[in-house]
Amino acid sequence: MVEEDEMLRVLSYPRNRAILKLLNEEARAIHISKLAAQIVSQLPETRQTQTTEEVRISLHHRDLPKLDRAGLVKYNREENVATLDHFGSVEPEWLDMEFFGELLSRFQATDDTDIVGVVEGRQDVAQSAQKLVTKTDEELFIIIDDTEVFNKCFDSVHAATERDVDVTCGTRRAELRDTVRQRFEDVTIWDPQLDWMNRPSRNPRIARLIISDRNEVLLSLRDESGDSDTPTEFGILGEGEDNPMVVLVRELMGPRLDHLDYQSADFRSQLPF
Amino acid sequence: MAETPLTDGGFEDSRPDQSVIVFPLKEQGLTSHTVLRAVSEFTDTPILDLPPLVDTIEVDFLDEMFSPDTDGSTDFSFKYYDCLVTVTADTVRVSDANK
Repeated sequence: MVEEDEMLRVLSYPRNRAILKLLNEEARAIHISKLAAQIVSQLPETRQTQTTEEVRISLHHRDLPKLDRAGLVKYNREENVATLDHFGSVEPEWLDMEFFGELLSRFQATDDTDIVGVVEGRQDVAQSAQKLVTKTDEELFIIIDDTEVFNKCFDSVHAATERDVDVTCGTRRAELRDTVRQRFEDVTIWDPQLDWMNRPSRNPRIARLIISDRNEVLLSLRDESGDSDTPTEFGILGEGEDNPMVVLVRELMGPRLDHLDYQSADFRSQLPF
Repeated sequence: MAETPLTDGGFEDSRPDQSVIVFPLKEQGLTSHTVLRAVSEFTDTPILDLPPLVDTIEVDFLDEMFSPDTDGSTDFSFKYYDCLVTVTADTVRVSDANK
């Protein structure tokens, strides 16, 4: 099982995030020579202190074995090639309330932009969600796992489309996807191609993930396994482009958001062939 | 192994053959990389064919403990790839761990 602490530490280094991003874009095994060259060309901080050869050595002797240990990458030490370990292996760690507490404690507020807010209770989370949807100007990415929750957001999402906001909606529930298709013409439906939402019968699960203009994020979990009749919901909120919570979600979701273009009918219709 | 940057003439256990090699720690570059170059040369193995150093020792610890900024007055030894590696304030010394 992946050590949460290890994963969190590993993700806090820009170079590790760059490695994950490059591996994610490639979707095939990459040799460390190619990886080193790409890192040097993409990270000015690295370029200033290390040559490509030195980066290659660090990749083999430090970075990739550590990412492997954290469960994020598979590194073949004999062939010197690395692949992304399926993000699914990360997912159970995210669905852990204690992990959230740990995550929050790491974000020590140095100024206002670093503050990560906590919202507890379903009603408060719903209110925050609505606020976030309402203030979105350009792009709204919304994942919702629950029909009731979805219906509550319905009006504000509708209003967002009226404001010409680019809305992408994802849900693991097929019937919700159909509803969205019928009611909104302009909303892009995101059919999850990776199974990170679809782990069966695991509590708590992600109830909603809302990314507004890529600079505000609300992520909430719901635990239905408890003794109480009503499921508890627990959300964290990050505001601002440099907010650590926003940065983290954007780093993890960024490539997926960009790949959405390939799924949209609009994109396909613009292809030359 | 025609070129050895520094032979370890001053120590009691030094031998005339290649039983010990010593690399100076440079101002620039990571201590862990100097360790790797020394072991690579000592064992005549390409650096990338050596098993990842981080599987043996915490590389960050090595780089932080023995950097130009720190006053690394304590010597530190560990076994890696059948070698005995000793890091001092300004050198990396590699010898056969089985001798």
